[in-house]
Amino acid sequence: MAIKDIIERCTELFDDLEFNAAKNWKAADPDRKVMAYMPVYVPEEIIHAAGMMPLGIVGGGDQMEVIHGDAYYQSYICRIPRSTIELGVTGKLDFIDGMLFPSICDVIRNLSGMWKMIHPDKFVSYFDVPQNFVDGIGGEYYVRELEHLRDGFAELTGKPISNDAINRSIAIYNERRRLVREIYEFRSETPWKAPASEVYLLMRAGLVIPVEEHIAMMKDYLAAANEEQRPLRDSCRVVINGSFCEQPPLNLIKTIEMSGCYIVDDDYLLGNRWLLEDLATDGNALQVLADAFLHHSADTAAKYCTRKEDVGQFLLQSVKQHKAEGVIFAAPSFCDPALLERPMLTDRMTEHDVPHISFKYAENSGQMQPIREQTGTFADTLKLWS
Amino acid sequence: MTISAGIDVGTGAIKAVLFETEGEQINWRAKRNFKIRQRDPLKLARTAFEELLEETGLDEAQVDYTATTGDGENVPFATGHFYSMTTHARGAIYLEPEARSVLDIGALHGRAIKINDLGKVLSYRMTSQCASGSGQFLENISRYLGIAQSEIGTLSLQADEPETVSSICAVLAETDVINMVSRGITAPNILRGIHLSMAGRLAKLLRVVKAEDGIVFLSGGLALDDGLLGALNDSLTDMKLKINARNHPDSPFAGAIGAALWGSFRYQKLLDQGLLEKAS
Repeated sequence: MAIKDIIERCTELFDDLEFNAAKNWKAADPDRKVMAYMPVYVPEEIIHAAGMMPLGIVGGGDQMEVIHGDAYYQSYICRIPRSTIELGVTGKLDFIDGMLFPSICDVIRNLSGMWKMIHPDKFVSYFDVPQNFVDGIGGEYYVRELEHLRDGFAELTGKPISNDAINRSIAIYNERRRLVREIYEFRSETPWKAPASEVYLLMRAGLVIPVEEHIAMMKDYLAAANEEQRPLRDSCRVVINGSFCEQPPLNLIKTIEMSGCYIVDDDYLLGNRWLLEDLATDGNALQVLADAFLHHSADTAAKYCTRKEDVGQFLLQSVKQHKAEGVIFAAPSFCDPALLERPMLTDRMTEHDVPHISFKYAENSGQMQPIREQTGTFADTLKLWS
Repeated sequence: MTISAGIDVGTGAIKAVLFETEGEQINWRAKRNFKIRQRDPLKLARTAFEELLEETGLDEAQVDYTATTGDGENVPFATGHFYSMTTHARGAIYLEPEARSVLDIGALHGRAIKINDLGKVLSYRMTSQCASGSGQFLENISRYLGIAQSEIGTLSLQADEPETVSSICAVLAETDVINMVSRGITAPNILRGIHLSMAGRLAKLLRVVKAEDGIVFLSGGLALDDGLLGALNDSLTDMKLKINARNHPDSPFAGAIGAALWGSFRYQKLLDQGLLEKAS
C-alpha cells in the first residue's frame, strides 16, 4: 500500500466526527460494544479482552463548532471538555456503550460527572491511577482499580473476563506497542522519511479503529515509508512537550515542520506508548499491567512524580536519546498539568543547556502566523547561533 | 569555495540570488526578481533558480546550499529554509554594514527589526492591525489615482500640502483617498499624506524595538519608494529619534541575499561538524 493511500485513509478517520469506523465495527455484530476513553492512558487490554472496541476521544478538533459545550463550563478552562460535551450532546457518541475518564486533571474529573448526568443509562467510570509508586501501596490500589474495571465490563457485556483473555489482549497490544516504538524510532533516525504530521495521523487513526487493523496499517506504513524517496532538508531536531491531552490542530504540527524543525519525539497521543516495554503474557494479567504502570511507564505532567529531582528527567532522556537540538513546549491554553509543570521542565532544560521555547494553543487554533514566527526563529537560532 | 542560492518567496514577488563565498570573500554572481502576478510561486521559484544557473553556467549539483525564505518553505529543491527576519537582517548587513535596524516593508506587512553587527536579530515588532502599512495598500491607491507604481515616490516628493490620511485602517484610508480625489486634492499631496501615515507607523515600530543607533535599512518591496523614505526620515526627526533611514538599489533582494549568505554559512558549519549529508 502506498503512503498516499494510507495517509488518505488516516485523514478520513481524522476528519470523521461521526466515528463511522467504530460504528461500522459495532454494527457488524449485535453483541459488539464500544468503550470510549479520554487521554492520557487507560488499559485498553481489559476493554479488548471484554470483546469491546476501545475508542479514543480527544475532543472535537478544529472542525467542530462548540455551542452547547460552552454552557457547561466556565470560560477559563481548556477546550477539550467543551468539545467532548458537544460531541455527547449532539448525539455523535450515542452509539458508544460506555466512557472512561482517566484521572488527568480536575476538569476531566468533573467531565466524568457531567457525562454521568447527560448519559444516566450508560457505563461511565472515572478511572483513577495511583499517585504512590510503592508496590504494596499504589500497586495494590491499582490492581483493585483494574479489578473493579474488569468486573464492570463483565457486568456490561454479561460475560466474565478471564486472565487468559487479558493475556491474549496484552500480546496483541505488545505488538502494537512494538510497532509504535518502531515508527517513532524510524522517524527519529530518518525524520525526512516520516514527517510528524503523517506519524500523527497514523497514531490518531489508532484511536478509532480496531487494534488489529491499526497494527496492519502501521506495518504497511513502515514498509511504504522505507521505500519512499523524500529529500533530506537542513532542519533542526526538536522534541515537543506538553501536548498529551488536548491535541493541537494538524496545521500546527505542519507549521512546526515547515518552519524548519524535524519533530523527533513528542507526547501527542501518549497512551499508545504509555507502557514502555513488552508485558509478560503468562502471568497474573492485572498484576502485570499494574507493575508496568508503576515501574515502566512514560512520564508526563499528568502523572505524579514523587521526587522533585526526577521532574524533567524523562524529557531530558528523550532529548539525549533522539539527539534533539531543542525542545518546543506546546501546551493547550488552561491545561493545568502541563502549564504548572512547564516552569520546572524549562528550568531543567536550562540547567542542561537545552534551548527551548514555549507557547500555548487550543485544539481549534486557526492563526498559525505567530507560531510560525516563534518556531521559525527558534529553528534559525539553533542552526545559526548555537 | 561555497556556492549558495537564496530564494525569497514574497507575497508579490520572487527574488533569487546566487553567491560564491570563499572565507571573507563574497561574490554576488546573479539575481532575478519576478512579480508573481497570479502565477504558481513554486514554478516561478524554479524558473528563477534555473535562470541563475544558466547565467552563471553552473549545474544544480554545483550549488552547495539552496536556501529559501519568506513563504518558500515548500520549495521542493531547497536545502533549508530560514525565517524572513533572519535573512533580512543578514541581507541588510551585506548591503549596508552600518545598519543596526531593518524596516522590512512588504506587500502585506511592515516589520522593524533591531540587529547587531553580525546580522543577528535582537528584537522585532510587526504592524499588527491591517494592510494600511503595506505595499498592497499603496498599489491599490495608485490604481485609484490612475498612476504607475513607479511614479509614486517621485510624485510624493512633489507634494506642497500633504493631506492627512487614516493611519489605522486600510478601508478607512481608501475612503479618505476617494474623498480627497472628489475634493480635487492633487495626487502628490494624497500620496505624501499616505506616505506620512505609513512612515508614522513604521517609526513607532522602530521606537518600540529601541532602534537607537546606526542606519535604519529599508528592505522589502517598498524599500525603493523614495517618497516613503523621505517621509520616514521626516517622521524619525519629528519623533526625535537620532537615526536615519537608508535604502540600496538592491534593497528588494535583502531577504534572498540573507538566505544565500546564511546558506553558505550553514554549509560550512555542517561541513565542520561532519554533518554534510544534511545539506545534500
